[in-house]
Amino acid sequence: MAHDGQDARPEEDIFLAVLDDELPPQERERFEQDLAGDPALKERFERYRQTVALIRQLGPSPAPKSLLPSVQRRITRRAVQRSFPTLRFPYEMLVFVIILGSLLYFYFNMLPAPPGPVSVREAPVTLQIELTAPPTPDVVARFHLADPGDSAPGTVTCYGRLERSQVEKLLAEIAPLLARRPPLPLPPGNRFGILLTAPRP
Amino acid sequence: MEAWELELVARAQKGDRKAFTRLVIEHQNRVFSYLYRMLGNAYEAEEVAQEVFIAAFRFISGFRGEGSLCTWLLRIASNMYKNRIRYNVRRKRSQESCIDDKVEQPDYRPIGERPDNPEALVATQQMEVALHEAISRLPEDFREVLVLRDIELLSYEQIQELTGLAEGTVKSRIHRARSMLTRLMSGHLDGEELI
Repeated sequence: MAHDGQDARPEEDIFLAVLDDELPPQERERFEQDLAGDPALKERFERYRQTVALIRQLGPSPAPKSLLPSVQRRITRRAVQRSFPTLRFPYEMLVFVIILGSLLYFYFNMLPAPPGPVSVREAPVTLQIELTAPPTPDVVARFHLADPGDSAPGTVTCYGRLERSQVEKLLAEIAPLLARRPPLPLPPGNRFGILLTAPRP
Repeated sequence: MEAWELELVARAQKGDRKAFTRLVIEHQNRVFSYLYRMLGNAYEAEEVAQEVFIAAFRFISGFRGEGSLCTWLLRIASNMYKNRIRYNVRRKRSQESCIDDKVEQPDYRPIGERPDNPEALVATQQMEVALHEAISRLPEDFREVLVLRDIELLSYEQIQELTGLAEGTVKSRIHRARSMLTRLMSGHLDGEELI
């Protein structure tokens, strides 16, 4: 769209300026003259104008109704997660619990227990010794023997957990009452479960 | 930015979720519409629009109010759109071996007021579908400026701020996009308008 003796302005600029209503009146008048004298330009511009009008008629597309609730839901979830950042699985706590549990298990099961009434099942080696009469209360007290409370009818049962040296002493003290000799020498091990059974007097 | 919007932004920056919800209500149509025209698919546009507002909620404390909130949101939307396109390309590549090649048709979603006359309604729908498809066939860079200018009705300054392009480039792209669209719509342009 060059004019003799005037600055040529590209068609692109003019089309944009016309549709943006930014073409100065003088140039607008000149452009209208160009359109009147150039049917091809007129057709190009008409189609261009029509296309822009169509797009603008299309207009913005409204957001679906579900968009806002979805955003609100996700923001709420995010806020909760930020308030409670430790909602994830507490691995550190789990490790701590495992270590503490291991220490406690070691303490109660691996260290030598003090002599005293314990379950026969806890002793590593159990010596079952039959007596002709129940042991004296003095022996029972000194060797921390106890009655499990489930003696068979007509029987007195005492049990305890003793170190090897204590077992030897006990055997020496109750030797007159032995109905049957215990296995000698004693089985290997330092700790014994002792189970004394005797007919009830 | 208007005073009420500045106040809402200030409240949202302090963590006021109600204020942020008001901002979402205010801008959701524009963000969704932009994404819908860029992606050509309403379901995907809604998904990405959600991401845009979640990101806006996370980063609103960094919004200094130098530009408009709308432009800021649309810039996030533009970045999210580009990420989605990259993701879609990767996914398509990974699925190419098991899915037959088929041209994805843009999903059309009727908008605006509908004419009462059934013939006019059909004609309007056909024109909308054609236009929607034609827009989706434009190269991405051209489509973006066209959507921002002629659908979102943003000023050239806002488009420059959003895209980071020079004014001359913005205008040139808009013109070329319109010209391409004119060619693509040549079969439909006989003096008809949508309604």
